[in-house]
Amino acid sequence: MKYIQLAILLFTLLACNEYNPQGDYDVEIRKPTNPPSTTFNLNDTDGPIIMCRTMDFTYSVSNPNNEIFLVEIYFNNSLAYTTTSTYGSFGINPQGYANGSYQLELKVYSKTKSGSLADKLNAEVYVTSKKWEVIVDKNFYPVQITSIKTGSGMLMITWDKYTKPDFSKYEFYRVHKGWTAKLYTITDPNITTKNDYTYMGGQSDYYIKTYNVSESKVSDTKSFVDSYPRIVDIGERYGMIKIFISKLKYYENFRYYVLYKDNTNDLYNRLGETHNVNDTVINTQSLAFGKTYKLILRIPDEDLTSFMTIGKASKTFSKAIATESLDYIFQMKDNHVYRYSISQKKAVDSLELLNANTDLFAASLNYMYLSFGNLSVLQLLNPLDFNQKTTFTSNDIFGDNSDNFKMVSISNNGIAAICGSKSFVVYDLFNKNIILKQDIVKTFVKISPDGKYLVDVGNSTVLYELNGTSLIEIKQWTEKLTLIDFNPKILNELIYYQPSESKINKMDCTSLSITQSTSASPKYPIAVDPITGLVLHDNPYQDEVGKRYDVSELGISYPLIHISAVDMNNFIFHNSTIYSSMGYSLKLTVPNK
Amino acid sequence: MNRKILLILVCFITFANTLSAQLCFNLKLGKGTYEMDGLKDFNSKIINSLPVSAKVVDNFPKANYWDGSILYEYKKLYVGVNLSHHTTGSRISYIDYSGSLKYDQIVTSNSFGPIMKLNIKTNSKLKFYPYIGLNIINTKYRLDEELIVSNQHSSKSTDLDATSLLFNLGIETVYSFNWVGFGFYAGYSKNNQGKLYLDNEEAVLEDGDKVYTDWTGFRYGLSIFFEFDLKNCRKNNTIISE
Repeated sequence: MKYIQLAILLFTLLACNEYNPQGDYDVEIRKPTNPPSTTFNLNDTDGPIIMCRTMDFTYSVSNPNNEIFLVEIYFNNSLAYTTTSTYGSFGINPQGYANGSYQLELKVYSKTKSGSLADKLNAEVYVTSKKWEVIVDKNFYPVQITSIKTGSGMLMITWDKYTKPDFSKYEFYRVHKGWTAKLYTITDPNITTKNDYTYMGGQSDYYIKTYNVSESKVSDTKSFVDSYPRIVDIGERYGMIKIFISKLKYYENFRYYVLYKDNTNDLYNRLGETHNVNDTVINTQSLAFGKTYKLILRIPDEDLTSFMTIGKASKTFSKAIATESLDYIFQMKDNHVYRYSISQKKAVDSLELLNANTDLFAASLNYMYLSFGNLSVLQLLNPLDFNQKTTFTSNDIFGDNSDNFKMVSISNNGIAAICGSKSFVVYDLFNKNIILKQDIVKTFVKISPDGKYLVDVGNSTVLYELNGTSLIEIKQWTEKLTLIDFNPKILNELIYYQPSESKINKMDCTSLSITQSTSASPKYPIAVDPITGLVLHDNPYQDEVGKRYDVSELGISYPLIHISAVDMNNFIFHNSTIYSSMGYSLKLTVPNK
Repeated sequence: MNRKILLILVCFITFANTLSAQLCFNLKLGKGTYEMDGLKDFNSKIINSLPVSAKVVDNFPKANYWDGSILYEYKKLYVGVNLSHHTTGSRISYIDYSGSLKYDQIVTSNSFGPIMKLNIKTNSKLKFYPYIGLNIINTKYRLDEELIVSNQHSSKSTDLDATSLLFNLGIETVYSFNWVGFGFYAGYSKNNQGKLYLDNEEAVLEDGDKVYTDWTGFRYGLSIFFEFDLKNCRKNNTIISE
């Protein structure tokens, strides 16, 4: 029986046995090392962010090779926002935070894509983060006026920029003689300058009212005192001397203007007067150079006085060219090229010419190079340093020693259109290589400041687009346009005078749309300023003083008369000033509008 | 279940003790192969649902099993009861530098039922016994899941059970030395696939499929055969105790 019991016990023990599965599947996967390069953007800024009230932050994060699956935003080390989107916005309320600097951190979790088990279960991630400084500033400071300056017939008022994000608007006020006028409402915080075109003189007080989203505050008042109106020009017509006064747009207590000679109130020197606020011309009988004239605007409480002296130009320019953005006029004289500073009123650099046949060809309109040469040599000068010069022979440019340089036009990026006696070449002065060469003779070519367009003036006029190494004709005029030039400050704008229409045109070379002069219609144009479109044209009336020239602006009638002493047949425009360049001449200042 | 089997066994021994002259114990130690197609399919589904490419590294291999019978000899025929114990299992494994996962399926069964043997060569010491049996088989199923990622460890066990019928057929040869004999056997078992139950609810996978155990397969191994003359045994026991 014991054996039976033993067998049962043995069987029972064996019945408890259980299979134990064996084996492992070991997969070799490389452990990821370098975290991804993540791009963070928060409100398009890296700098401190000013927060004054509940603020919406716009974020975006990206990394090129990894998959972002979680973004956390921490403000002041506390989790403020969690999202799975790689872009979006969230708001933070600074209430409960004292004014001061805090940290806002964008923490990005992205998959390693290693393929490991942890990666698949999002338990293995790259964590990258970026921090921004957030300045909580719940105070509200109004902007202050920083300066008031006189401009052309107006006042220019400048104030601090409101830099906090809760900006709503600026309101710009003027107080004159107890009467308050709101001049502007400005909703762009970046605008910090405005002009007061209606300022007529005397004391005016200005202030700015700054609005944020919930309140407004007023700046300190800044006062300005000036005498106005001004004599802006003096001219002559039909034997009558005319004194031009700045146009009044507003003046509530105007009585009359009165004009005196020699800064006196002597009745004997009283030249004329007008009682019409809209009449900006006072006629008088005599006028003399070197004399000072006084204009008084008379109002009940005060006289506002301005002065103007008629002077003569002190400098003569011959064979001169100018660049618009520099202070210099370059001229040829006494076998030298001179750099003449307009502000210093003297020559500041000079270089001896190659020989007597040397001529001044072109100055790139901004700052690049000045070129001059004789028939077989072209020399490029750095306008700011005559020691920097490069010399090209006609063989370098034309590939022909027998060809001669006739005319050069240079773009701001160093592309030169060079007319030779036998051929025409477009040449890259920087890289010293020929862009294109044509074995045809061109007499007058201008290249645009960006080197994209080229106008060829012969018996007819053709506008080309320089496309790679070829010229594509985009417009043709059947007549010879005159006074043609590209505007150096507006891209691809061509200004020209069209004799058949007696019109000055501005044409956009891209759209070929034309703005035409509406009223100027000069009959005898002799110079046009490519920037302003100011046209100097010969006035047929003669008198004992000399020739007279009208100045008109494209699209706007500007019938002022300037007096010149002698004949002027060559002109330089420089920053809206016209310099004659032949013989004895006057400096003619283009009047303010 | 084991208690019931033991109770039936004790009853049988008591019954045999009162009636028989010859009682035999037959213990078999062998290997069995198991089809387990349902559970293998289940492994495939597990693998397909995993985020990584895991593998089955142990797939219900042939495994040791135990089988015991108590038989009453009547002329050339042995009739008795049979108890058997089977176990096998499988493992799905995946290990990389970041962690590991493991799915172990362990199936263990105990079966009980009548068995009948026929001695077809009685006059020799080398005997041949064709046998046939039908057992009720009770299966314990356990699924051990283990996931280790970084330093995080999680595991879970699920227990299910199944009951089915197992039909056994085979032949055994024994060489006898007086009351003990040694031999080997070979046979085949057919199982009618047992549905697995979890807390008396039929286990159904997410895709609607049901999971079955299937112990069908070949059996072979060694056997020990004890033959006792119970009357003599009682006598002997009396003498010993005296």
